[in-house]
Amino acid sequence: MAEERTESTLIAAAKQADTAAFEKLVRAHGGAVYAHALRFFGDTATAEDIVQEVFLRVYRSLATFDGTAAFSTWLFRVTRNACLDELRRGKRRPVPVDPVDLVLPSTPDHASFVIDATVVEQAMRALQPEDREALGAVALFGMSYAEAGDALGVPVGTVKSRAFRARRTLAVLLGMSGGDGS
Amino acid sequence: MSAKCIEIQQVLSMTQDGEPVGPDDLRKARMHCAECAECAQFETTLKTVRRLRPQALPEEIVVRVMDAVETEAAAERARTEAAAAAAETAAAAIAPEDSSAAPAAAKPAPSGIALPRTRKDWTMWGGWIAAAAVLLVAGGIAAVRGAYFIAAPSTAESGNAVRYSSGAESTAEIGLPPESAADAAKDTLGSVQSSTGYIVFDGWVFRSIGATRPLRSNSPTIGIVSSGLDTGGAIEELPVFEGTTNKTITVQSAEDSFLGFELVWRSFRGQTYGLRSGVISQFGEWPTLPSGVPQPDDADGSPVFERSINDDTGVAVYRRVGQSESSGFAVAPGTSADDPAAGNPSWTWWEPFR
Repeated sequence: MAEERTESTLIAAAKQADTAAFEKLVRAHGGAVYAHALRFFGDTATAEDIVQEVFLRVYRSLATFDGTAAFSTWLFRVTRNACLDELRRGKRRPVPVDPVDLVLPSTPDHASFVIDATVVEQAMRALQPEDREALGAVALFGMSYAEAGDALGVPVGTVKSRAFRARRTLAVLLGMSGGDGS
Repeated sequence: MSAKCIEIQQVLSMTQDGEPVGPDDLRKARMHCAECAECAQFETTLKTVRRLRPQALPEEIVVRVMDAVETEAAAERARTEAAAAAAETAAAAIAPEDSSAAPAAAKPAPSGIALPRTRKDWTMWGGWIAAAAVLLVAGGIAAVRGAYFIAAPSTAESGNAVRYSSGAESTAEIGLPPESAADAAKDTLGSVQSSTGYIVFDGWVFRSIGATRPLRSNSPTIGIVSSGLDTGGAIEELPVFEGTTNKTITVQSAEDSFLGFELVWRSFRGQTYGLRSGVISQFGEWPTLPSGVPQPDDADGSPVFERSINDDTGVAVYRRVGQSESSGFAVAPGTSADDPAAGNPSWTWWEPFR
């Protein structure tokens, strides 16, 4: 609750052109935006450009944010649109990741398995886009299934099944679980 | 992996997402994980990946973002100050009602504009102000007309018949120059001669209704459609925006223009059934039966379809053999000119619209 008040206070201040408050919002949420863009395009330079574009859009339209939805939900929509817009411009295309290209640690002992963040990110990029998007909405942006469903335009049950499928696939890709990932 | 394992892992996944899970379900999941190595490992994976949540944005990116924001903020402040100064100047200029009463008090215009000082000057300025007011009123009317069009597009009551001129009407309504309207109409009519401008979005067929604009500059993108539109060129992935109704969408073309599309639909037992189709890559291509619905061998629909009742406008409906028409039905080619499937040489397939 205290966190919500802090965020709403920051948003209110940012609406009054308080760039210091806006910077705190950037620091608080920038990681999720960057991770989403990086998983979308697989390219750090593009992800950085997307982060800048997203927060410029947020800054320009902050006055229209009425707090009806959570700030993170709104931010997810802006981020998703920025990625789609960049894709539409056609200058940058997502670099597909083939699961067979994943370089996994050779440790056979699951108990001592140490997952490298880079490997996890590679595995994330090997997910089906709709599964990755649903997982990102709930795990990166902290949205509920209902909020994610609203943002993605799909039923709540679809978000639930996509997030679960993403996790199953991740478990299989990371070599930590059996099954077919479906 | 057993059904029980899938159920348990779904519970674990929901728990990770903060979704409500009953204490009994959670207890069962924990007990199951104590006995099932695979589910225990799945839980370990979830926890491990969760620990790798996104790190803070690198400082150099924060600096870069804030530099851009500060630049934007400075420009906005400059615009605001300039507007305020202009308003102040205008107020100072309008204040003296009788120029002869306070000639010495009139301040020189800081911007160098020759402000009115004599009665003759005021007469001239009055003319300009009146002209500006006329332009403002005219602009306002155009804006209201445009907003009305965006807010309340026309829809048919029992399904959307083909309307060849809709593209031109739409263009005119939003106030584009006559040449643009004529071009849009020409484009639409040109494609209509073979079929009309169809695209497929999320499996549903939408028909072009001409040039339009998105509702707001921050209208949400709801997906991507692959189409060459009427260019006859390469197929592009184009962003799709929400339309003004639940049966319309707006597509941004590669040339950054906005095109409106409406769902092709018909009414059956009072419900909306949308047209489904396989891939349509260009304007001029007809909707086809979607994958999973075989092409019938005979004109009576056999062996795939069998005759059912009529839709709400009296068009014959065919259901899949052994299935209910409520989940989807076919319409044979050769429907009348006012039917949503008019002109299509193939069978069409209709399903309840979301």
